[in-house]
Amino acid sequence: MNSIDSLTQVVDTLTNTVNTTAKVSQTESYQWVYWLGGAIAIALVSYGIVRRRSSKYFQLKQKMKSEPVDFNGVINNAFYSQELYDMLKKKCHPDRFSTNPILEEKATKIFALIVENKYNYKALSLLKSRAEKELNITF
Amino acid sequence: MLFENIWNNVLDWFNDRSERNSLVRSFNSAARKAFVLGLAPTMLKASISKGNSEYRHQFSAWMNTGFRIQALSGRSLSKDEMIVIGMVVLHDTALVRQLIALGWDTLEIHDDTGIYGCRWKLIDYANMGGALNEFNR
Repeated sequence: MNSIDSLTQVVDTLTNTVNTTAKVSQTESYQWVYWLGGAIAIALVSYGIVRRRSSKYFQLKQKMKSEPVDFNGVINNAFYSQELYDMLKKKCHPDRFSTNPILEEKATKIFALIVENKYNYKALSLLKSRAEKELNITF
Repeated sequence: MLFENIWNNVLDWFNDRSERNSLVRSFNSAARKAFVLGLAPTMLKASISKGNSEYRHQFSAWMNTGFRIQALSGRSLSKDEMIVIGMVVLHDTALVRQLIALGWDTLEIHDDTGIYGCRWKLIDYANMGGALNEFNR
């Protein structure tokens, strides 16, 4: 009876050992799957980033972002350009110089630039000084 | 193509977040300085708003695509005043292109008391044809 018991114990021990080994090897194989999945994901993301950087979409976007913006200029334009434009368009209108064809031609050119730079205070200020010189106007 | 667009949107969202906030901060800082120094009669304040989904373009962000400028004048602005501020921004092509590149598609001008404001579709003022010509040169 004792010998049967001890034999059963040995068989049980062996079965447990085999099961544990099988579990360990199963876990290890799953680990490989996880590692492989992770590696594939990283490779895909890296490929996507590299491909994106070489795409025209990305390069155009970077170029658009890199253009410098003058916020002080924008704020000046918002408050002062309209007033200056209104003054210049009256003073430099070509019809005011219809008696002198040379001045009229100059005024036409300056007036076109004034209209083009309606919302640009800096450009309008330069045009103001140009008008003073070329059209002999005092503001 | 669809996958590429989604991929670009995902990466842009991460990349552009800080740049968008930085642009808004720079604008607000310049406006505050101009107001404090007496160069500007009204303080302007930029913020990010929901935007208009009808104005979407290829560079649009997923959400919050509106660039809102509020004039803190303490009174409601007339439509002409709002249009002038809007036009000043829209005529600065570099600024418009930067706004577009950072995912904004709507420009909104508001005052601090009234309910109504004006809004524009940014892509119409970006002169994208010119930008593409410069880019391909």
